[in-house]
Amino acid sequence: MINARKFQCGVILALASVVGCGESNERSLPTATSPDLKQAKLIRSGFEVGIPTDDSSTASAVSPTGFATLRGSFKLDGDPPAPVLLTVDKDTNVCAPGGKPVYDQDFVFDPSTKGIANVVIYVEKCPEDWVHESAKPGNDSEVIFDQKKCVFLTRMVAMQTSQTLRALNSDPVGHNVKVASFNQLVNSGGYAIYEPLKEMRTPEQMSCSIHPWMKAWMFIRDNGYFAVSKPDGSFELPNLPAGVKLDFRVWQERSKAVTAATVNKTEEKWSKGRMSLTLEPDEDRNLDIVLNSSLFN
Amino acid sequence: MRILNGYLVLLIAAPFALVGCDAPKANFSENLIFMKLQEEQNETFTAPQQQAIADSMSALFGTPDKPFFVPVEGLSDLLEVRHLSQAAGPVSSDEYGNGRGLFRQHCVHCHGVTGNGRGPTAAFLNPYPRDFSMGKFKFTSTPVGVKPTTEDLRRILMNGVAGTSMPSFALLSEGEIEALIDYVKYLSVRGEVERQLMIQSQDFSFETDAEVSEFTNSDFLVGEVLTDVVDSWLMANSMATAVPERPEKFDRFSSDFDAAELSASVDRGRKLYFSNEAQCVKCHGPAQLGDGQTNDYDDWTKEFFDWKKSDDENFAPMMKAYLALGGLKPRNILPRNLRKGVYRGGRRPVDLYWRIHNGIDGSGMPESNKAALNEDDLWDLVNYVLELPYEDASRPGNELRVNTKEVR
Repeated sequence: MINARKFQCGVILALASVVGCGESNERSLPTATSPDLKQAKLIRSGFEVGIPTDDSSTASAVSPTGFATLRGSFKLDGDPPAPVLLTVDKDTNVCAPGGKPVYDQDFVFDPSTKGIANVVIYVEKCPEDWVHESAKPGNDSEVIFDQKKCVFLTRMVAMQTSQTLRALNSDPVGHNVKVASFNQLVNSGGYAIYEPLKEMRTPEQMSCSIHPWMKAWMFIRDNGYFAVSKPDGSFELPNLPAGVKLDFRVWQERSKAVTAATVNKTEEKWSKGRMSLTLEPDEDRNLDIVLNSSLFN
Repeated sequence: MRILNGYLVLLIAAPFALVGCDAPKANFSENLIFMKLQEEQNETFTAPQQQAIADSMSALFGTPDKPFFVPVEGLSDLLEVRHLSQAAGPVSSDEYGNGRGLFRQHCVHCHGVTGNGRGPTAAFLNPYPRDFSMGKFKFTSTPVGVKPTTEDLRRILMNGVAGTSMPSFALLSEGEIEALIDYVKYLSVRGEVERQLMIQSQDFSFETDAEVSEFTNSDFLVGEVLTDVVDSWLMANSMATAVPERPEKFDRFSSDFDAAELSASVDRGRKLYFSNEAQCVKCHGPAQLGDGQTNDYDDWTKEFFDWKKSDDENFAPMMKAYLALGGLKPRNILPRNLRKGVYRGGRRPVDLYWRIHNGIDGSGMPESNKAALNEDDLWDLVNYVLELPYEDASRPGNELRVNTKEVR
């Protein structure tokens, strides 16, 4: 009898401890909350007065006093993240000739210059009348996007909404290019044209459904105030509005928002990847940006 | 005696305990899975941040019993607000016998109160019911990335989706169908706005009341977020792909039907199926059994997981989190077996033309390459696909897989 009771106790204790562990493990999960009805009512009452009006009435009084250039580079401090091996299980003679391992190019790093490629820097919100002639929407040039050995040759495609993308296929096998409002088959040696519908807030992933391991990123913006860092990590944003505060955002595919950096030897915290600058007219500002490798792991 | 009394009390109380309270109030559930995804990519949501999102959602859309829609510009072209109250709420009927609570009567057990495709029966269905909150719909007349037209939604409700658990609701009255169409749009807009609020909330601070009200003010919630999603719906109706008339010679019910022409077209279609220009064979397989590409997932699943990194150390914990938050166990998306004669998006030639011309949103099915295939080519493919269920699978000339017995 006593034994049985002991056993029971044991079972109950064991159960309790299992439940306990479960809870502590799940602490990282978001839990449900319920709306505060009073607050919701208050918010809704705002809709009745303020059905949004034209932006012009609320436009700020400041306007740019000229134009300036921002340039610089993204360098790595520390060791680059270990490359991710991809599973290539289709069309292997084309996609992984000779059975060579294929690695994801989600972090392109040049050890000689320590430069990080494919980091995106862009002006977040820029009123249309601030934009320099050269960066205004309307640029209708074509962007070439090719694929070879089942790799998208441009990892980070940044372009304006008014531009068109010409997707080529230099492989002997077919691909399809899938992103946002585009999912078109590109036959071997053929091409497909994509005309974006609207701008993106952050870069969106491009993929190929036939070869699901293929990946690239696309970033569509209305104005031309964006840059993608080159293999040596350098970037240039010419003709930015000067004399006004600009909000920049910095993004990389492994870290997403880049939240911390050392800029010209000063440590900075970039909340949500955001950095603000005011440039002087005709200034040519240089930023040596060093990013810690912990951002990318 | 005392014991008997105790039982009596229990006996009398028990039915009250069961019946006493009304059914629990229906609530929209938050998209915690999407929140977790955002947290994984950025920072953990703070309590005031989550509260501000919940409050804003309640202000913008009300509850499942009392839906609300802000009278934004163009709303009358999107939906009728009175339809929402007809489709929402508990099941009942008015004095004229008009149904109320239609969504809960007909849809909720699969699609869920929130329209997130996770109703009580969802886990038992294959394919899983659609989650409306992503704003993506598969069988539309519009290109990938564009919302469905009202007619597209009506077609799905009237015909159901062949080969899935989605039945036809053609027995409902026209008014009830209208109400459900508008309610689906409402749930979809709601779901997409919630996602946007979760994404964009990361650009705000929620430490002081003033900062919170920057997020909860009308200019942002309505002027930027809601209007953006509503506009994407409003542009859909003008973006339906116009399908050229199918040549009469291919139509068995036309006086101009020409069997030789149809057969020649089917032959051209077969060549195209295997061709570099169309590439159908890549996914639908050399025997058209849907056994080509079988290791892909749909966009609803891929949003949360990067399957290419399933060996990554983060993958298992993410999967655990996904399931713990109510996510349904991920399944591969399979290309259609074209020999079954079951066409989910409709079996009319025009439906197949749309599928091939526009692709299928959210799936791996791409749109046809406009530079390589013209209208006539597409009709040849349509004719071939319509012919396939009647064709001998061992027809010479097709390279057959060993496992052709495995018919899905």
